[in-house]
Amino acid sequence: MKPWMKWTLTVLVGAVLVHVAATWALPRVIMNVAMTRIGGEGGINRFSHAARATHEFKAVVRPSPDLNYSICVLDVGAGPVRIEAPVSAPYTSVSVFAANTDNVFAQNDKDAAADGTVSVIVAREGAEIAEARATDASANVVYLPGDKGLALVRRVITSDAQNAQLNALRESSICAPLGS
Amino acid sequence: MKKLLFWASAAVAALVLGAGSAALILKSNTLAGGVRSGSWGTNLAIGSKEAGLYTRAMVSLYGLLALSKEETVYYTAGTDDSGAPLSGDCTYRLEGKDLDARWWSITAYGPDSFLMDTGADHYSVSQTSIAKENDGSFAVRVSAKPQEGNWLPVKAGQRFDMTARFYNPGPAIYESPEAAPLPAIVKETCE
Repeated sequence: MKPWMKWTLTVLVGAVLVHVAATWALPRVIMNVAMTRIGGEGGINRFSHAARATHEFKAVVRPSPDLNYSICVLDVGAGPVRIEAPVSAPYTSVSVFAANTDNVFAQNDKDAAADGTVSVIVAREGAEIAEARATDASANVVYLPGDKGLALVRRVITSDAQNAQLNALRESSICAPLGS
Repeated sequence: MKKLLFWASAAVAALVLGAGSAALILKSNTLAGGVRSGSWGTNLAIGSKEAGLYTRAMVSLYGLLALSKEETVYYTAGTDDSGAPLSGDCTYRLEGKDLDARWWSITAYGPDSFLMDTGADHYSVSQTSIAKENDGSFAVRVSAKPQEGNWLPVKAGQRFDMTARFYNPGPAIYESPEAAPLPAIVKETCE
C-alpha cells in the first residue's frame, strides 16, 4: 500500500472512532457537569429547590418557566435512596434519570398513592432491595445502571398566589438514603 | 522522524475530522427531528432507553432532563408556516385550540436554548394562563413589542424557537404524532 493511501485510511478509521466516541461521551459529560453543579449547591441524596426559571437561569437548557423544580442528585453506591414527593394540581411528576440522560422512571399526580404522594426507592442494578421493599411495600422500585443519577420533581405553577402551597410541598418532600 | 510526522498528522486529522463531523451533525439537528406536524417537529425517542447515539447527544444539548414520551411529548418549531426562520424582528400570530394533553404550555427560547431577557414578566403561554374564545380557540401574538391579549414575548434582533410541551398527551398524539393539532404560526409584520 502506498504511504498516502495508508495515511488516508488511518485518518478515516480514526475519524470514525473519534466521531462515535465524542457523540457517545457528550451526554454523559453534560449530565455529569449538571449533577456536579447541582450536587455542589444542594448536596447528594437530598432535594434542592430551584427558584422559578427566568432568563438568568443557566444551569439546565430549556427550563420551563411554568414549573416549580425540586432536584436530587442521586448516589446509590452505598445503598438505596428513598424519594417521597407530595403532588399538587394541575400537574406534578416525579422522574428519575440515569447518568446517560435516559429517563428511567416517571409517575405523575394522576397515579399518586391515595395519600397524594409519589414514593420511589432507587437502587443500583443488581442491588438487594428486599429489606428496602419491606419498609415501604407501595413504593415504586427503580434501578440505575450505575451509582449516579438524578431525581426531578416538576410541579406546575398556576399563579404566584400558589407559591406558599408549593413551597410547603417542597419542604415536606424527601430524598434521603433509605433508613436514614 | 518521518514516521512520527506520519502518525502525528494522521492523529490530528482524525481528531479534527471526527470531532468536527460530530459537531456539525449535532448542530444541524435539533430535538425537532423525527416527526413533523406543520412547522412543529418532535422526536418520540427523547428520554427513552431506545434513544440512539445522536438522540441522546441532542437531548443533552437541547433538552437535558426531558421526560420520555409516556409522560410528556415535546414539539419544537424554529420556522413559521412559510418555512422562514423565526425572528425577533417580526410579529407572528399563533392560532389554535387547546393542545391534546392533560396540561400544556408553549415557551419561547433564544438561540442558546435558554429563556430570553425580553423585559416582560413572562416567557410562555399555557393552558392555565391563556385567554380563549367561546369556541375554545385562541390567538397569541409572538412579538418583541407588548401586545394586547395573549402575548408571547421574544427578543428583537435575534432568532428564537418555541417548544410546546404536552404533559400526559391524548392517545391520538401517539397514534398519529404527525397529525397533532398544533397552532399555526403566521407571520404578520417585520421591522
